[in-house]
Amino acid sequence: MKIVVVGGGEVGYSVAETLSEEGHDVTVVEENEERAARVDSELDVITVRGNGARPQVLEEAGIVPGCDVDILVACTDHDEVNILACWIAKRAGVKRVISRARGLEFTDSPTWAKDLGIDVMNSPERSVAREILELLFVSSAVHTAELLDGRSGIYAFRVAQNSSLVGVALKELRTLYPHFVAIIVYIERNGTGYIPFGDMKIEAGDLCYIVTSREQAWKMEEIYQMKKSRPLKRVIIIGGGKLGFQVAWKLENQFRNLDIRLIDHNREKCERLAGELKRTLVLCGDGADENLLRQEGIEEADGLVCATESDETNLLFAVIGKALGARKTIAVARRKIYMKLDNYMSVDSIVNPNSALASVILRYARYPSGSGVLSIIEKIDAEMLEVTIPDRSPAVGRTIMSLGLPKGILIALIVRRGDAFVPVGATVIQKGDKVIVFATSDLMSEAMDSLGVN
Amino acid sequence: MHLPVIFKVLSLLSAIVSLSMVLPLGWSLWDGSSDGKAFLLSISAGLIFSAVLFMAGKNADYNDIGVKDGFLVVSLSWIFASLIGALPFYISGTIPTFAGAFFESASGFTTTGASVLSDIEAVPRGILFWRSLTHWLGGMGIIVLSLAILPFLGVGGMELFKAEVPGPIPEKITPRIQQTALYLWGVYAFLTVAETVLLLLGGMNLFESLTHTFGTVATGGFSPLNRSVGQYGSAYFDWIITVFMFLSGINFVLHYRLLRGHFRPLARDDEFRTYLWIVLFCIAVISADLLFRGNYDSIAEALRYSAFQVVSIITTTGFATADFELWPSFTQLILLLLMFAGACAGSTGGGMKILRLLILSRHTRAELKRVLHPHAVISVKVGGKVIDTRIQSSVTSFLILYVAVFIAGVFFMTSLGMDMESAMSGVAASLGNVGPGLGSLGPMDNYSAVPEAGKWLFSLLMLMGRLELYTVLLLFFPGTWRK
Repeated sequence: MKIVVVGGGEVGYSVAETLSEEGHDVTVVEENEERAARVDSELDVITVRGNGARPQVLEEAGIVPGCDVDILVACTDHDEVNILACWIAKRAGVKRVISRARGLEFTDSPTWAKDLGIDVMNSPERSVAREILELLFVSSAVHTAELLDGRSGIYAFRVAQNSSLVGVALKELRTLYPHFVAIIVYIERNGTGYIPFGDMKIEAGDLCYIVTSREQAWKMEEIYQMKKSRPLKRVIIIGGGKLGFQVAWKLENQFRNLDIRLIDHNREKCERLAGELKRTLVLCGDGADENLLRQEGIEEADGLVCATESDETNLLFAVIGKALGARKTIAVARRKIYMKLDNYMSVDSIVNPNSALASVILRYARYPSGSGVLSIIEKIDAEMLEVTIPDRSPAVGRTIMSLGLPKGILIALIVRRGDAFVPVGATVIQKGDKVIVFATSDLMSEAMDSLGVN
Repeated sequence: MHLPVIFKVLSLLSAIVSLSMVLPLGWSLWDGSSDGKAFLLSISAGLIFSAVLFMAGKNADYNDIGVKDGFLVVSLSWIFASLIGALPFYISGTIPTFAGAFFESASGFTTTGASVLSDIEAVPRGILFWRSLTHWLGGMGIIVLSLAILPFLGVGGMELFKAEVPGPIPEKITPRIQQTALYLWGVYAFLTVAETVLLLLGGMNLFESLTHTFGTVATGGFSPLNRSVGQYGSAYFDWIITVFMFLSGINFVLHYRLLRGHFRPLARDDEFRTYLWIVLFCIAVISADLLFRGNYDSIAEALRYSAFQVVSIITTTGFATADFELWPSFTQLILLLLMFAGACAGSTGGGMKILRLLILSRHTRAELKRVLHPHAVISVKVGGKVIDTRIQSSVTSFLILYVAVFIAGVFFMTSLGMDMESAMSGVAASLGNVGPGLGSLGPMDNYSAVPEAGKWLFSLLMLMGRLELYTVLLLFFPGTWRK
C-alpha cells in the first residue's frame, strides 16, 4: 500500500518504521529539518520537507486528485495541521485518513470526525487515561490493555512467592479453577518470554499475561498475589496537563467516594483545573516537594500517577513516590526507550501514549477490514486482535486443533452469542464468532490467513 | 563496526561478480578459444572466496549496517570486485603481471577505460567481453545492482546506496530503496538495449555492438578494437555513440522521469542545462579552432570529431575517434579541463560532477554578495532548491580533496620518472575515470609502459574517483577502524 505519514515525531517515526518494515511504500512529511534528516537516514522511506497542512507540500508527497495513495496518517503535535492534512487528502481521493487529535474536544463526540470527513480520529490521551484507570483498578496488574470494548482485557500479573499457583502445570489450571474464564497467553521469566504450553509449570516471579474478563481480573489478582485488591481510596496525580485532567475527570465519574488529589506547579493552570473538576482537590506545588507529598498523605495513597510533560520528571517522581510509600506508581513516558525501565527502577507501570496511538494507527493500516481492537504489547513484541469470523472463512466448522496454527499463535477467547469462553483444541469455530487472537508480531498476518480474515 | 554483516554483504557481492563471468565464458565456449579454462578457474575461485566470507558472517543481521559499515562495505566490495575481476586476465596470461591485471579490472569496474593491452584484437573474445562487462556492472554500480536484486538489504541498503551513487545529494525516486535501485537499473538496461539495436542496424556485429554499448552507457571506454571507435570511420556509429554517451552523462533520475512522460523536470533541471550548454559551447569552440587551424576541411567533419571527443571526455567515457594529441594545445587544454568537470550527478560518468561545480560557483557568488551587503541573508539555490550549508561545505572540501589527491598523484608519478604532461593528464584521467590522457598516455597509446607501482597508484585513484573520494579515504582514516 502507499501510505503518507504527516509528522515525523515519536509517533510518526514509529508508525513509518513499522509500516515500511512491513513492505508498504511510505512517504513522511516533516517540517523540522532535524527530524526529517533522522527519518531520512534511518528509515527506508521518502521524506518531504514542509508543513503538512499545505497543499503544495502534500502534492510533493503524492497527494494529488486521483492519486493512488491508500492511507494518510496525520500525527503531528498540532491538531490544526492534522485536520487540514486529512481534509486535503480526503478531497484528493485518499481512501482512508487517520488523524491524531490532542485536543480532547475533537474526540468527545464522534460527529466531529465525521463532519470533517476523517475516518478515524484518535486521541492518545484518552486511551492512555483509560489504561491508567485500569491499572489503578486492578492494582497488582503491571500492564493492561482493553479488549471487547472494555468487557475483557489483557492483564499482566507477577506470581508472588506464596501464591498457590507456584509449581502448578498450566494444563491443571482448568481443573483447579473451573469457574475462571481466563487464559495465560505469555509468560515472562527472568527476562525471556515463553509462549506457554500445557506441561509448563508456573514459578514464583513469573510475569503472566492473562486474557480474562474485567470482573474476574480482581479474583485473578487474589490467586497470583495472595492479597485482596482493596478498593481505591486515594489517588494522587502529578501534572495537570491534558492527560492528568483526563485521568482525574474519569476517576471522578467512575468512583464516587474516591479521594483524588492533583498537583501542578502552575498557578493559572491549577485555577482553571479547579474550575473544571468537581471533586478533585487541586494543589499548587512541586511534585518533588517531600513535605507537600507527606502532607497530602502519600503513604496512604493507593495510586500515584505522574503525568507531567516530561518523561524524566515522571519517572523520577514515580520513584520518589514509591519511596515515600505510595502503593502503586504509574509514570507516563512518551519515549519508546523508557518503556523497559520498569525492570531497573522501582516504578510499577510505565504507560506510553505514543505507542497507544501508534497501535491504533497500525491496526487501521494493517487490517482495514478487521473489526476489533488491536493491542500491541510492545514490551514482548506481541499483538492481540479481535476479529469476527466471516461466513466464508476456511476455518468455519473446523476444530482449532485441525487448523494447524504454528506455535506463537493462540486463540485466547471466543465470544459466541454474547458469551465469552476460553476455547480448547476440540472447540469448533463457527461463523460469526468473535475471536481474540494472540500472536507474536511476525505471525499475526499468518493467523489472519488461517482464519480467513483479510 | 559490525564485521560479520560486512563479510556477509561482501560475500554476496563476490558471488554476483563471480557468477557474471558465466557470460564471457559463453563467448569463449562458442569460439572454442583457450580462455574458457581461465574463466572456469576464476569463477570457482570467486565462489570459494564468497563461501568463506559467508561462513564468517553467517549469523549477521542485515539491519546492522550502520553509517560506518556502509562506507566500508562499499569500498571493500569495489576492491574485491576488482580483485576477482582481475583473475581471468591474469590466469589466461593475457596480462602477465598481477598489477596489470588488477589495473585493467579496476579500470573496467570504475568505468575508466584505461588499458594496459597493446594489441587488443589479438586477445580472445571471452576476455574482451569480460573487460566490457565489468564496465557495464560498474557503471550503474554493483551495489545498486545487488540492492535491486536482493530484497533483504532493506534499511541498511540506504547507507550503501548513499556511499555508491555519485553526486553530493543522492536522490530516491520511490519510497523503497530496492525499487529505486530496480528502476535505475531498468533505465540503464533500456539505454543499453536501445544503443545495441541502433548499432546492429548500422551493420556492426553483435559482439562489437554489445561491447561498445557497454563502454558507452557505463561511460567506460573499453573498445575491442585497437583504434577504438575511430577504426570504423563511420559517421553513423560516431553520432550514435556520441548521443548515447551524452545521454549516459545525465542524471538517471531525470531519465526515469522522462520515460514516465514527465518532460518538465529535465527542461528545468539546472544541472542538465549547464551540462548541455558546456557541451555545446565546447563543441563550437573546438570545431572553430580545428577549422581555423586547418585540422579538418569541412564543417561537418570538424563538428563530428569535436563533438565525439568533447562528449567522450566530459562524460568521462574515453572512446576516441581522433588522436587529439595532434590537435592545437588550446583545444587540448579545454579537454583536460573537461576531465575535471565530469558529467552530471547520478549519472554513470565520473569527474567532479557538474552539480558540484554549480553549487560551488553559486556559493562563491553568494560570498561576493555578502561582502557587498554584510547584513544580507543569502541562500544558495540550485534548481529552485536551497542547498544546505552542510552540503555546501562538503562540496567545498570535496574540491579541495580532489585537487590535493591530484597533486599528490602527480608528485608520485613524476617521482617514478614519468614526464609532467603524461603524469598530470594520467592522474586527472584516472581520478576522473576518463581513461586516455595526453603525452605518453594519449588516446592512441596505452598504460602498459607505466611502472608497476604506478599501475597500483592509478588503480587506487580510479577507485577513489568512482566512489568520490570520501568513501575510499575513510579506509585510511584511523577512526573508521576504531570500535
